[in-house]
Amino acid sequence: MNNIIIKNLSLMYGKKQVLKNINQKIEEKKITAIIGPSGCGKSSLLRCINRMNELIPESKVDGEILFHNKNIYAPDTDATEVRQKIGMVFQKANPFPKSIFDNVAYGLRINGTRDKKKISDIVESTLDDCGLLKEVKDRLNSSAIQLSGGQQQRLCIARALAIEPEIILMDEPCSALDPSSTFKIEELMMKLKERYTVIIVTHNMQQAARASDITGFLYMGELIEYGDTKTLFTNPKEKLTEDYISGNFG
Amino acid sequence: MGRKTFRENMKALETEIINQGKLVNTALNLSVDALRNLDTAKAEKVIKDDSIINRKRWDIEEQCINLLATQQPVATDLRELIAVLSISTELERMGDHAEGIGKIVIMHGDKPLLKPLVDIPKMADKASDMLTRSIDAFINKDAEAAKAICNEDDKVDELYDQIYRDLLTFMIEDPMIITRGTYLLWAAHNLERIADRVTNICERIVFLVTGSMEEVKVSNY
Repeated sequence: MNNIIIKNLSLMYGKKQVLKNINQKIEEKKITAIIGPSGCGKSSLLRCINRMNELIPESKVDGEILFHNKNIYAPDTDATEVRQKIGMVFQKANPFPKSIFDNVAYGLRINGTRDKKKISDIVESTLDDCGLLKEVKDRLNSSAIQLSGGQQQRLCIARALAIEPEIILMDEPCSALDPSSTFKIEELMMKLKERYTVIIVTHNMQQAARASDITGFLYMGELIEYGDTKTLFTNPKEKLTEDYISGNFG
Repeated sequence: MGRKTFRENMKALETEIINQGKLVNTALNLSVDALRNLDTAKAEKVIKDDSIINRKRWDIEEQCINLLATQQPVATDLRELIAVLSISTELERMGDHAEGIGKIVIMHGDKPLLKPLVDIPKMADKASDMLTRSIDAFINKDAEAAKAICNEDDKVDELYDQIYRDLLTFMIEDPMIITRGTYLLWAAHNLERIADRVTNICERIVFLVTGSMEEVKVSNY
C-alpha cells in the first residue's frame, strides 16, 4: 500500500535545482530511510512532503505529491491540514518553552480540542507511546527545557503524534543524541511503524541499515536507488550507491 | 581509520588467506606422501603443524571481528569480509582432514599397505590443484573460475567411487585386511571432504562477486 506517491518532483531554490524529477511510491507503515551525501537534497525532499519548503523564499516545486491520491500542492489543499497529517520531527529537538504537558497538548488545543479530560488522556497515552511517560509522569508540569536531549526529542515526537498524523517525517532525529538515546528513538520508530508511515533522513548509514525497511539513495538531487534496506546494504544495484555506502566518496 | 586503511587491512587479510591456503596444501601433500611411504615422522609433522593452521584461522577471525566492529563494512566490503571468515574456517577444517590422514598413518603402523597407492595420490593431486586455483579465484574475484572449479569435484568423487569399489572387493576377498582397508577408505574420504570444502570456498567467491548465495555444486556424498 502507498499513501504517498511522488510524481515528477523537482525543486528549485532560486536558480539552483535541488531535486530532479523524483518519482517514487512510499510504502505505508514502513520505515523508509533517505541517505546521501551532504547537499544531495535529502532534507529538501523531506520538506517537500509536508510543504515545509514553501516557507523558504524563492523555492519552487514542480510535480506532484499525492497523499491519498490528492495532490498536496493542489490550490485547494490547505497546507496546515497537510502538516497536521504529515508531521515532522527535526534534527535538533525544539520543545516549546512550556511544560511537558503543554508541549504535547499544544497541537490539540490549537486544533480546537477543549475537553480537558480528552486532552489529558491523549497527552498521557502519547507520552506512553513514546516511552516517556514513566520518566516524566511526576513532573508533567515542569518545563520541557529541563529534559535531556533524548527526552526532548521523544517529547517532540509525542507532540507530533498527539494530533494523529498518518506520516511522520524525521530529519536527522538522532544526530545530536548519544547512542543510548539514539537506540531509544530507533526502538520508538519500530513501534511507530505499526500505526504510521515513517520517513527518516539520516547521515548515519548504520542507522539506516539497522532501523529502516526501505532505503533510498539520493545523489545530487536524483534518486539513484531505492529498495529493500538489506539488499541495498549488502548488494546494491548501482555502483554509485556502492561507492557511497562503502565510504569511497561523500 | 579511513577507507584507505580498511582496504589495506583487507589486502593483509587476503595475504593471510593465501598463506593459510599454502599451509593446508603443504599439509595435504605431506599427509598423502606420509601415507604412500608409511612415514610416521612426516605424519607426526602434519599432526603437529595443524595447530599452526588452527592458530591462523583464529588470527584471521579476530581481525575480521575487529574490522566488523570498527568499520561496519557494507556491500562488497561486507561480502568480502564474510567470505574471508568463511574461507578461513573451511581451510582450517581442510587442515583437520589432512591431520586425519596423518593419524591414519600412525594407526596403520608398520604393517604393509594393501597395495601401492595410485588413486589416493591422484585424488590428493586433484584436490590440491583445486585448492590452489580456488585461492587464486578468491584473490582475482573470479566467479566464473570458481564455478568451473566446483564442477571439477565430480572427478574427485569418481576417484573416491573407484577406491571404494576396489577396497570393498579386497576386503570381501580377505576379511583379515578389513582394518587396513578401512584405514585407506578413511584416508580417501578425508580427501573427498577436502575437495568438497574447496567447492564451499568457491561458493563463497561467487557470493562475494555476485551477492548471490547459491549452491553451485551439490556433492554426491
